Amino acid sequence: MSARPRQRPTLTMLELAEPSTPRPFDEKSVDDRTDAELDALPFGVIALDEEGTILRYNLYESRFARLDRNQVVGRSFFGEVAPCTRNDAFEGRFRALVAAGEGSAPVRFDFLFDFKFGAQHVTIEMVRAPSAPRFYLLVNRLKIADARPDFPPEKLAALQRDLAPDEAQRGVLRDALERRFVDAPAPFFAALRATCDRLAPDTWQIFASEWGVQWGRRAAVDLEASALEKGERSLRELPMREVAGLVSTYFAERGWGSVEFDFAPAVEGVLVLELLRSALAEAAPRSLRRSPGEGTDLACHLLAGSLAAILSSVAGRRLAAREVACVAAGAPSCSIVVVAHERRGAVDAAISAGVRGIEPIRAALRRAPRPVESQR
Amino acid sequence: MSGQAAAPRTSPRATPATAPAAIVRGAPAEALEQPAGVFLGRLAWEGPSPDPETLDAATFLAWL
Repeated sequence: MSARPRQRPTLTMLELAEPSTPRPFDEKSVDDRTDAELDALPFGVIALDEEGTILRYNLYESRFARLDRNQVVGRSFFGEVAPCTRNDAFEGRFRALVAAGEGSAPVRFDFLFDFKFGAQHVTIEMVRAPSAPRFYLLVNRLKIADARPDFPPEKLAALQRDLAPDEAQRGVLRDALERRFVDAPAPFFAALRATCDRLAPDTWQIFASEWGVQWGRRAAVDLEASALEKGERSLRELPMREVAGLVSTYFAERGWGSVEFDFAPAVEGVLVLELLRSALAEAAPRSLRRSPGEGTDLACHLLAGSLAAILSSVAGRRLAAREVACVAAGAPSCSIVVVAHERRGAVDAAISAGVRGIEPIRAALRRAPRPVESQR
Repeated sequence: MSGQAAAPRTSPRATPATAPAAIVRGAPAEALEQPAGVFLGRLAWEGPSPDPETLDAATFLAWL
């Protein structure tokens, strides 16, 4: 008796991520946003209570202040974390906003943050949450500068090691920007892949893709920060060639492999990314490698998802990225196609049908019906 | 074991870099100098216009 082919779920059905397309920001709604939403914003967000105790601290602020939010939440913003703001220009405005009561208008002003590692010209917007005694500082970085030699050292903003001086003895590793990281060797990923294949052979790709999208949104914040540090420009304003280099460097320096961009199919609305020496593909045990079309021959969904989120952020529209050939299945390199989110269904259908490789996927896209409604 | 304290572990930060030619291909150099937002914004994300010479009628109608 021949086994019936199993119906495999497609990525489309269970893609969970919210659109990563930038949308207009209404400062009055900031209190309604989840922490994950705040983390995707390209500016700093700090929530304080009436006393100035930090309640929320988003990723962008953490990146530029080089502080781990786990160490700053619950601390006094003016007294412990940013003594450089303990003056009439900043804390005075905050106290006045608190005293003004409900319905008070947002306050906007320019300020110079003084850190021990440098100074940052910013625009501050102070907003009172409409329905709770919470106050938001929206911090828009304008320019990165050298530290001011004449600024009183005791008033400089805290360093991570000031807030957690003994963490190195507690097994906490930090990178050059004070972000915590874990040294995850290749066997860790091999074990993860083996676990996925054992427990969820037909669905782990969906989980990995979603994880990648969520990661990519946070990586985009990192890349935006790097762009601003380089030349006071956003990623969208940098030349395409430079952004490609930035993205490739981002992955390569973290050991995931390198990314190459092929724009030749762009006339068809397709970008092709070649992923070389993918850590995920190489972590797939050879004994588990299967033939194309069996579902587990593709290994790099996490990286495809993260690239989709990063490129969506740059493009200003929602994009989808799918791996269509993988070293784990014997391909010479891992190939990822990037298409408009509305066209992802055609790619997913082709992948589910066992189609592999750039050219066959492009052919499938050419045959596919035009999306009914394009959403920018 | 040398007995010396291990050096602090750090990972290099991603520094903006101009991509070597090998990282990007398939587009004219002048196009790649456009701002990334403009470059990606101008792509035909909805796909190319259908070519009735190469598509069957049903597919062509679906594209319209």
